[in-house]
Amino acid sequence: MNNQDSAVIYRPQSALFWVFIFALVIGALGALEQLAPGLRETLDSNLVLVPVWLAFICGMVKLLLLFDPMRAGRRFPQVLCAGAMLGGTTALTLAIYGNSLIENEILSSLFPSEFVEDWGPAIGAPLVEELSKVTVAAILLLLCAPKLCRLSHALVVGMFVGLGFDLMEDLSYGLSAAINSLESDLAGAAESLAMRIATAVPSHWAFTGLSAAGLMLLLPSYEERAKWQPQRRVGAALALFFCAWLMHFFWNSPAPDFIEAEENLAILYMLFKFTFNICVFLGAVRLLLREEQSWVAARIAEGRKPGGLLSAIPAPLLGSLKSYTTRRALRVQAQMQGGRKAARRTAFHQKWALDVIQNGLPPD
Amino acid sequence: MEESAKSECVASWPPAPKPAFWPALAQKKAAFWLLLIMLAIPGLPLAAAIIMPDDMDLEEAFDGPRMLETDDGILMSFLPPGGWRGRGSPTSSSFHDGDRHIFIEIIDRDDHDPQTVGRRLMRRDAIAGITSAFDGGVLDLPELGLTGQTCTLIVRDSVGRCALLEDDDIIMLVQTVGTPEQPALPLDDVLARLGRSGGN
Repeated sequence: MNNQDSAVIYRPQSALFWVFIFALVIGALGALEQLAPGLRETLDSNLVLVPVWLAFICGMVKLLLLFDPMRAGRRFPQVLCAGAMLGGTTALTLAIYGNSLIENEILSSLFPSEFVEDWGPAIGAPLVEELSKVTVAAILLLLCAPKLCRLSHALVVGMFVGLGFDLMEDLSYGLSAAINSLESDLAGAAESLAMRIATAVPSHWAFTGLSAAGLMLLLPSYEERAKWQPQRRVGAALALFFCAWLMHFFWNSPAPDFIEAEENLAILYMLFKFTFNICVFLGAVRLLLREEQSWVAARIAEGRKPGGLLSAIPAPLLGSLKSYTTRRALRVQAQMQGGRKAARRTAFHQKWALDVIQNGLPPD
Repeated sequence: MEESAKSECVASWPPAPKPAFWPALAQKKAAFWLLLIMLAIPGLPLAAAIIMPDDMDLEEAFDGPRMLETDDGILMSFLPPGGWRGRGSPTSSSFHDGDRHIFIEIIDRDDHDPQTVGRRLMRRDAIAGITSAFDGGVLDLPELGLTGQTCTLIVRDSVGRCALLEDDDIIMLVQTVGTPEQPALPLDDVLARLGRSGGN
């Protein structure tokens, strides 16, 4: 295997690599144009909030990796970083221009201003933003097609594209709130950041995770393509796109007037939106991860054979890798027998075994 | 020695043709389509916006006063000059007639210092390309119960005046701009069109 084969993103022989570079540069310039004036004006206050931002980012990354229980996507941290960068620059820039045109030019020409103010974010944003994010996810899924070929890969890449978009959108709202605050920059930025953290689950990362998985179903590089009937595969892809759009639309849609008038009802309605979106997302992810579980089970069955890759790994450990529940059960059992240290050791071994299944044996 | 010299000659002559860079690229079709989609995301709405009727024609034409309301429910009204069109949110409205524009914004005073609010509003506008500065003028509008200061402002090729007004409940920003060809409506005329609680 030469360097070119092992490269994940750096594939200059592919036109998509140059599209990736072009999109990143243009997107970064666009994001800079949008955010730089506000950032320059409110830099001091935003620097005060850096520890909160870092804690938020770390928390979100940890949360997103929970949706990669079989350790399929985290093998490619460079792709996840690239996804977050494309989401935060290219997708954001495309969405800002597209949204602004749809709301300020098209909808404003067709509907009264009150309607546009209420419904503009629900009509324009889910369409433009989801398309922007899934397009940049497509760049990575196609560029890295030799390595990213399963639904779990697409789910994680999509989630990181969405996370990048989320974070930069949070920053743009924070800058705007800081500038528009009548109190101080810090008060505006902190209030906005607190609100965005409170509503970060589920958000763009969840929408894009589903739409990227839907995209993977349509790509020729999809490894399990042959196992699906074409109509079912396309239907499943459309259902995932619809779920992503629906979650975004529902989240952005205004509450009915009688709910808006009552503060308690408004809070309940927000909770209902949250519950609806989290149910849609978790339901879809549960179905999507079944494929990865089957893939891991097949690799285990293959590797267990005498002389196989996994033949040296103890059977109970291999048997526990099928799902989160079985893995946890073995850790609990280890804890009961040997305490926390044994549970931690078991967790380490489980991760190591999953990495061997995903990557093959590491070189000595 | 002789042999290595010979092999070097064989290797360097005849020179190998330089590989063409672009045709060697893989995944060109996918790259083309993705570029096209990325262009279409702002491009299609832009094309639609161009062929749509001018949205200014669909702005509301006000026959009567336009009401502005703060978050706390305090009402102010503005009677636009005849033929002017406008749009806005509950707390702010903009009106225009050709290159002449009027912008009005109303904010609950709460515990805010009007001077600080004024400076912050000016800075917000500066980021959006509207440069303004207090010019030392003082306003007293007893019929509205408002006092305040005047300012001048420049927006690209337009110039005009503005006023930051206040009472115990509200802070109000009023801006009027125009071009040399279509000068701004005088600030006094704009202020005379303000009213309290729907009256004028």
